[in-house]
Amino acid sequence: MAEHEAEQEHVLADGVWAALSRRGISRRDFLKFCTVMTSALALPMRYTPRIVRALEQAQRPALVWLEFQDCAGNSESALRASHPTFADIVLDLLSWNYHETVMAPSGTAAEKSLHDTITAEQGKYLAVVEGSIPLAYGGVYCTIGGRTAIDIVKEVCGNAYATIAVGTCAAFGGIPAAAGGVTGAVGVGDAVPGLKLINLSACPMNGANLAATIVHWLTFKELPATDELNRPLFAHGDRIHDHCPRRAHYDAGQFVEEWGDEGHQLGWCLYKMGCKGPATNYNCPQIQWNDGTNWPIGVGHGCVGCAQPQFWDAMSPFYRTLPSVPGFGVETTAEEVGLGVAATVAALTAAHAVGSAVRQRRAAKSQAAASNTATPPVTGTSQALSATASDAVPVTAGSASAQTNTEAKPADTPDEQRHDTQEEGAQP
Amino acid sequence: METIHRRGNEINKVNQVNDPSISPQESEATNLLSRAELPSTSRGTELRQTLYVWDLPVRITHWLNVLCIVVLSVTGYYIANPFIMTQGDATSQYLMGTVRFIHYVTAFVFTMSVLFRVYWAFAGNTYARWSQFLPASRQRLRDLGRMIRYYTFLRREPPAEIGHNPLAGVTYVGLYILFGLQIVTGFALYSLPYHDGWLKAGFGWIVVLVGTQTLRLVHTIIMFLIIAFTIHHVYSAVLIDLEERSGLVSSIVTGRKSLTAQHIAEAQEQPKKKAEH
Repeated sequence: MAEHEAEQEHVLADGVWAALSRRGISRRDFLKFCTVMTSALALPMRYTPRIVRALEQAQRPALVWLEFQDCAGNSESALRASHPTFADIVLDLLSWNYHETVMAPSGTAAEKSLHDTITAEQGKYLAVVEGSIPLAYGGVYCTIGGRTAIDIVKEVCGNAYATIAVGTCAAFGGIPAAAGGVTGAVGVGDAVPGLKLINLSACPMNGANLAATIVHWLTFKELPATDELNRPLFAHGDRIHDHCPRRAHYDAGQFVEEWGDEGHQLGWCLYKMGCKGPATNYNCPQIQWNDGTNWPIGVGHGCVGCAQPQFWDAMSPFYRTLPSVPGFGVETTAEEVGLGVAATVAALTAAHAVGSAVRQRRAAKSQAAASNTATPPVTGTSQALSATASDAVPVTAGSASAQTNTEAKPADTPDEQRHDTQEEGAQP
Repeated sequence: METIHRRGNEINKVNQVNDPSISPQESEATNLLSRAELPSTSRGTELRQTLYVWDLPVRITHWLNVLCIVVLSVTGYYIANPFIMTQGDATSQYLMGTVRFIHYVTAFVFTMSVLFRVYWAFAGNTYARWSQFLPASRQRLRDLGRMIRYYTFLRREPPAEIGHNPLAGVTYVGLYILFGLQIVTGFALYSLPYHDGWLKAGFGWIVVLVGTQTLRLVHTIIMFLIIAFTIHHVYSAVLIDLEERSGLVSSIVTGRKSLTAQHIAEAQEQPKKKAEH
């Protein structure tokens, strides 16, 4: 037994496992972590031994964590866990060389460790970016050590093996890019096109997904497969709506209509309360939060769609099904605008109908007047067929139903004159 | 009264063959009027020809569209705002599921109808063709102006047309653009749960480009725009029918309009060159 352990120590002397055992993490905790990662990556359980082997032998690649227009929420999400071992393992999987929120050095010393990593580990380290990058006015809205965010990103991410944008701000611009923002905030992909990039969006992203992405890289030596938005498919492949435990109530037509109503107490669908699960791709329902304790829909609150590129603008108002119609104010719903449009058309139509009726009546009157003054009724009609009768009908009357025969008229009496009298005023 | 049935696109031929100075309609009209039994308001009693204007595919797609729009609007509104709730065990209820199924099936029918109607704009008779919708000729442009003046009470009578008036034609172009947007946004939303296949390949990129919530908003707003169009459409059909007494409203069932000889002559009259003024 002791022999076996000594052998294992020898094999794993330089790997992750060595670092973990020095920290006093038990083999059992380590295997549990590997199993969770297999599950998070949506891999079959037979991959667990492979992940265990890969992590045991991993040479702790370097990682630098940049923070720009952020709230450090993704740092929190990555590092805080009810299980202390989880964060320990994630921190020990890599050589975490630079991370403003948690690092001990500051000032020049901190910048030196960033610089050292970029030069010594060029093309081999992982760059993690948290927070959006402001581009307005040359990027002056966010500078660190006198350098703009975009400048830092270009250097650090440009020399990295790959960049992981954590959180919706870093992935798509997020809250700083919402309407009303003045900083010209964009995500990493838009700020520096062409990077080898993984977007781990959500506000914040789930720490388990970051760990799984890193584990995937360590195990398979490549980044996980992504969707069109560079998000890993294991985390963003499916809609929340399609994995929602309340989905049966959606299909049944059972909806919460008010917080705390009977449907809410019975756990019905939150769609009418503005749940954005149908518009959001994320593994929230499976992986959940706080080590799988629960997640928003599980506690009776709708999804706010934080993992989507359109968060915040298109996902708000949070408690309405549809976004507000641009130009109509946040309190106006799409339904109100739509009904307003339809009602306006109906009102205009009704007004036009009244106008047409008046026109009809006036025309009939003037025709009757013309018939009475000019000729007896019967001959009036036939006379109207001749060119002379047509001329005799008063121009101002519009000669509405004078049945003039175009062929019989002289060629130089244009048709327009008969019709357009009201707009042109008088006959030439 | 004698009625003459002719296919729409043959009307032009007949009138081209005849000498315009001695049109048969004219002599017939004079004979008829000489009976002197007409009331003083001669509207609707003068000689009329019944013309076959809307061919069968036009009428079928029209009523198919009507049916689909009603079903899609009701089911679509329910999907956006489920106004009926079920009670009891969720496993024994499937109201939203059924409504969505009806919506999707109807959407496919509607798409086929719209696509066929667009094809028929290049294959149908004169009054089904694209030239009825895009005011490409001098005459259509002139009548477009006249129709706008008619609607804004600047002109007594609508311009004489056999098929669509040019303003209606342009409106239908706008309507079909709305139909197209509605179909594309609808299929994009329909593609959401799919990971691959033709729906994902054909429409998934729209979801990425526009975003699901914006698609849903556009899809909902267009429904209201189509409803607004329908209100106006029915009104203007009745209005022009009252003006022309042509049986316009029933023509979408029968395909036939009843038009006066003078109306037909005016409709076929070419605009004079502006140089004369």
